[in-house]
Amino acid sequence: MTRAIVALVLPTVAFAALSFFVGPSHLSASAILGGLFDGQGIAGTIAREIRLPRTGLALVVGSALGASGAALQGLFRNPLAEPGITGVTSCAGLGAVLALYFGFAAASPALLPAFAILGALASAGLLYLLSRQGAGVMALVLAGVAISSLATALTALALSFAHNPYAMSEMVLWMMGALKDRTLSDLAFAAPLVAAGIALLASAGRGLDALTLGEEAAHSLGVDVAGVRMRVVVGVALATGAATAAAGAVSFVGLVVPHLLRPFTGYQPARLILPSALGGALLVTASDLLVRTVDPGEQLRLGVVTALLGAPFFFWLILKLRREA
Amino acid sequence: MIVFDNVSAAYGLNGVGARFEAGIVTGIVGPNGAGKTSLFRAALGLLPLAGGAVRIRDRALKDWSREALARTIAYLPQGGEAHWPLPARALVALGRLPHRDRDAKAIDAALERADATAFADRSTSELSAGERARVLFARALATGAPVLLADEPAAYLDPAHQLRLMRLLKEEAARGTAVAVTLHDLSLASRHCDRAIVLHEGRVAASDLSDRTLAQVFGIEALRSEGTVVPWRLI
Amino acid sequence: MQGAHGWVALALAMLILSSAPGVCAPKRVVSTFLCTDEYVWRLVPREHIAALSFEATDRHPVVSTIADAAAGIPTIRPSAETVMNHDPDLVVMYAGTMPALHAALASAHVAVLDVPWASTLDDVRRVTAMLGEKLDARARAAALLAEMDAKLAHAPKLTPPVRTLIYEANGYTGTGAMTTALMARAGLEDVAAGMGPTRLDTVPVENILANPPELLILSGDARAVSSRADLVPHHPALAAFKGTAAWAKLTPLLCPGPWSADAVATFAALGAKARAR
Repeated sequence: MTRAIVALVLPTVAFAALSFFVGPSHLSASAILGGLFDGQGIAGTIAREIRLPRTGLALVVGSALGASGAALQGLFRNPLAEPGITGVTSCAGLGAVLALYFGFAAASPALLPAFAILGALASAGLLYLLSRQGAGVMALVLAGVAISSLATALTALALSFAHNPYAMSEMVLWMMGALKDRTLSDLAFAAPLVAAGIALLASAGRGLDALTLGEEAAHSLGVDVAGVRMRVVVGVALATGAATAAAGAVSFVGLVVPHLLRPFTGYQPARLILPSALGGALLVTASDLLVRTVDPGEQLRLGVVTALLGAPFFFWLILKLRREA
Repeated sequence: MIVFDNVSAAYGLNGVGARFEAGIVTGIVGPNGAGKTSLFRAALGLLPLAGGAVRIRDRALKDWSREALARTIAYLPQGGEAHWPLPARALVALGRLPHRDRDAKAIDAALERADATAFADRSTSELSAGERARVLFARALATGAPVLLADEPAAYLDPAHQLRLMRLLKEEAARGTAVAVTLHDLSLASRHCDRAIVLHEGRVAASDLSDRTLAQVFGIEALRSEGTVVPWRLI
Repeated sequence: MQGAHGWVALALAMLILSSAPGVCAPKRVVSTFLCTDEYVWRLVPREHIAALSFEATDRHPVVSTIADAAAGIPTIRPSAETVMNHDPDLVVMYAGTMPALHAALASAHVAVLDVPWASTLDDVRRVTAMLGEKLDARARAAALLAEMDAKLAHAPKLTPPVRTLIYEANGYTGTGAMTTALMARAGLEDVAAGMGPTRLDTVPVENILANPPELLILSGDARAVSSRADLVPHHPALAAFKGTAAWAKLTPLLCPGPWSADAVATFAALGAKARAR
């Protein structure tokens, strides 16, 4: 695990730095860097209020999704599990939409991530029930499709009733994710919630390792299986809920990253969680950088890039599983 | 070591009285649905009891903490699930979870006793069924628990591997472990188990494999060699 | 006697048939669009307005200058059915909009008055005069234009012009020819083109900070923050903006017409404030 983490740290820092220094205004990199540390003048405002939130959120959102994917795959012993496919991000998005467009977030900014986490918990709760029945690979994916479809429909419904004229057109933003114009306040709320979620997921590592042998064997090894389930469900809800509140629904990060990293962590679920967080941070930061470079007008959404990478990967994974079955 | 005192549960057990003693291999046999796996699950605290009690080392099951119970009973469930393709040694190391350590000596010893050292560094997905069974067995041994419950460990193994497995179980019993194993194969049971518990419809129907038992419980007649059950045919 | 009755009837019929809409004042006017609502409200007597479009009195958000004044007049979401419900003798529509509705009304033989789009002040004068003719409201139209000219003349001249950026939801800064002309009358210069706009006419918050105009007019409701688009002009980083920033509701500019001149006073006041610093 430490080797994987070390190998990922350098590229992540590199992309984060690039993301921080790239921007539409023509301030030099040294000016921005100086602005970050002393907070003085225009460079300081731009560095701290605009560049830092964007880069910081890319890292935070990516790590939330990567770690959640790794934990869900460990819990369900299913390489297709991830917050997007299982419907957790869609439900978090529904919560966030209700908070933003119906005035709750205006009353208190903390309510935006709070509602998103509640939404994520609702769908994670359904997953909890499914995992108790020992849902197979396809059952989990189908349930995720059903939950996602319902959440998306309800989101569209909510947006069509919202008074704000921009509501309906922002639907795409929620479904495809974006990091444009995020504020320091967005980052300040997301970071601790995601950190708490990831900590909870990491603490379930031992139990996830034991689950490799099945639930009954895990129980016989002294693992509180229900407790592990609860930790993964709550951890995923916290991390994914906070991430979705800030950035909208970004899919496939939690699918691709753990799968790519698994051979390098000895296939043990506990060792996969933190490296997946780092890998997710790298992927989202790089994707956001790509979005800004290719289309400075930012019609191209973050989630489009991750979906263009992830959906073909998803196909390939399904075919591989069918061949192995 | 483990005493079942008139144990009943909602699905599967109907007033079962039995004991698993140290130093011997107890074979649990019975037709499908007789309650064999349920008995093990009751001992592990996985099955809520409707009546009766389970005592382990003379202490009621409910008085055991989960951690202490994990160090006392090693369980090898049916099916041999090992979901991720871990290296064999890492899989065996999972057996140390109740002790919260990665005691390399214990792991190596377990691999040795299970006759799995030769492929300890290979990935479990590359192993044959027999080799995997030995690795999973090593995992159960790695805990160093005084009780070993093995549920259908011989399923899907070829005859040679089956016999080897039964010999391993006997060696464990000889070291003082209370070994209990559920088996479908009456031939294996009668040749390798020191004691037999015959379950039928959730209760103990017999503690031997006599002709009468076989006829009443299984509806078969055994051909015998050296007094043990060999192949069988329908009556 | 029969023959004489026939001639009188014919003469009467010809008199009636020769009255085209516009010569005789319409009695039941339906307007189908915000920008025609604004004209209809000002030119047609209230008792002759059968219905306006829902945008005339919509509160979420407020887009019309007559939202309070027109309260009580029936409003419709325009479709063939809702328009016909009011049995109009004249339907006022914007030229080029709602082709399906145009076709439906044509096949039902309902009279439609098409209002052309105005992109300059001269266009506004022409369109207002034309509507005055067609709606039999020449006096009112002339009064509106006189009022407009008075407001335009009143504007103070600031030299050099105040470098101004109008910033809307989503960071949108696209200003049309008319708005730029009205800004110029009030002594403001629109600098959006030099702020690095994207191809969607949005300007990133960063550019506003790095290259600040003298005056930043935040268009919209200072309190409305119920969408991601609204959050952009409310971005906390703008608190560090070095020039004068002010919220203003620029509703008169949403539809081109004589009322648009109301914005000049707003612009002038903001320009003076910016210069006074």
